[in-house]
Amino acid sequence: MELFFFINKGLHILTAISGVGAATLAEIFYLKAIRDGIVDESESKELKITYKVMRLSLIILIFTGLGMMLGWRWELKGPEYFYNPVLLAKFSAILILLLGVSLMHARKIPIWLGGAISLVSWYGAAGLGKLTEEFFELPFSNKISYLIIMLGYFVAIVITAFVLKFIHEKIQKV
Amino acid sequence: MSLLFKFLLISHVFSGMLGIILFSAVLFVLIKKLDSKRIKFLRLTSLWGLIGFLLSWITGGYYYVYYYGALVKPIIKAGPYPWAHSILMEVKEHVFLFLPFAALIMVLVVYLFGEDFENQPKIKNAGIWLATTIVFIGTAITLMGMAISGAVVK
Amino acid sequence: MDTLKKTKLINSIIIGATTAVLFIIAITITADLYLPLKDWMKNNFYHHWVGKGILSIVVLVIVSILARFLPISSNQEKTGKILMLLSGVLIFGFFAIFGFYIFEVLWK
Repeated sequence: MELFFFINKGLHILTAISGVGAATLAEIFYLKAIRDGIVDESESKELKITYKVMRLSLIILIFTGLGMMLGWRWELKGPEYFYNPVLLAKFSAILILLLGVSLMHARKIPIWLGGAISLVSWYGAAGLGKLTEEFFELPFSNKISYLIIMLGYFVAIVITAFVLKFIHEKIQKV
Repeated sequence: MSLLFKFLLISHVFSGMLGIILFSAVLFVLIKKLDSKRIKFLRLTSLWGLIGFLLSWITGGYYYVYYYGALVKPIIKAGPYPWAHSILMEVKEHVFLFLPFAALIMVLVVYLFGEDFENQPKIKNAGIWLATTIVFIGTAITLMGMAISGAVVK
Repeated sequence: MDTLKKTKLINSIIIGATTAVLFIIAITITADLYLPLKDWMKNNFYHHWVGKGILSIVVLVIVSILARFLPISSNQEKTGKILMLLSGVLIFGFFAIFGFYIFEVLWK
């Protein structure tokens, strides 16, 4: 079982890295693709591959995340781990990521907003994931609540959305 | 916890999550314009999603009846978070009964009306809503399961 | 399978599933308020949860068979509507059961 949890955690970290990388590349490839106003076949292929990597990373990330939680359950880690504000914020970021991607997919929100949600959620979830198990050892952990983390997350989305919108408009003008 | 119950809990969690992910895929594809390749994908995905929920139902049910009720429930009820059982587990175990029925209907609709979806926007739209409902209930149940696990203290 | 047969089949099973979900909501709340019903399920099905599962499958089968004879069953226009009704009942059921157990814990 120990070996299973070791491999599981390793895979969780690796897929978080590949997901963050794919989310970043997806944004770069998209900006590159819209520069001339047309997304040609090779650009569309590049984008499709990065979206596939992102989707696959997310699926493996969810399963390995559940695997880690099963480990906590057997070790009776209890509320310190499961009700940890960092973990709850990480879940919220992943749920918002899924909702944002669905809305972008259904063309209910603009691409720059979908891109901002995706980027901030991937980076945020990866960063928060790193902090989850070490949270209570941090000297400032008692000053951080779920609401503060989520406030930071939403501020980051707003800033990233503005930056991406600005870049989209600038590129499309050229 | 014996190896059997560990295996049942892993199977319950993973097959349930597989069901949610597959129905999310159904939802994403249903939003798009459907061709024969996508209809085939919808049929396979929804069928495996239903199998996932049924497996989760059986393994979770066995674990719940023979292990959770006798050994975990008393610990939670005596601990600092008794509501994790009295509210969350009660809701989870009963709402879980909905999912296989909803998934079965999704499978049947996709198998029988797959080709007609583009000519029947009302049925397709209702299918999108049903898939959304399945994903919503599945996700809520998963989060409740996590919260219940957190209430088991030493 | 021709369209009429397909429509009859799917409509009657959707009606069966919707009734099964309503049955689960009703029996969950009733068995918690009227304990002899919960005990009856425990005695006959080993556990009340198993009883609810088996009985809801029975409801699905019986209502689906009966619904095949309803005039609504052959109407393709109605498929979208009853499918939406099923989603509505599922969401209603989720919140009804959630609300009921919150009420039980906080006020009972």
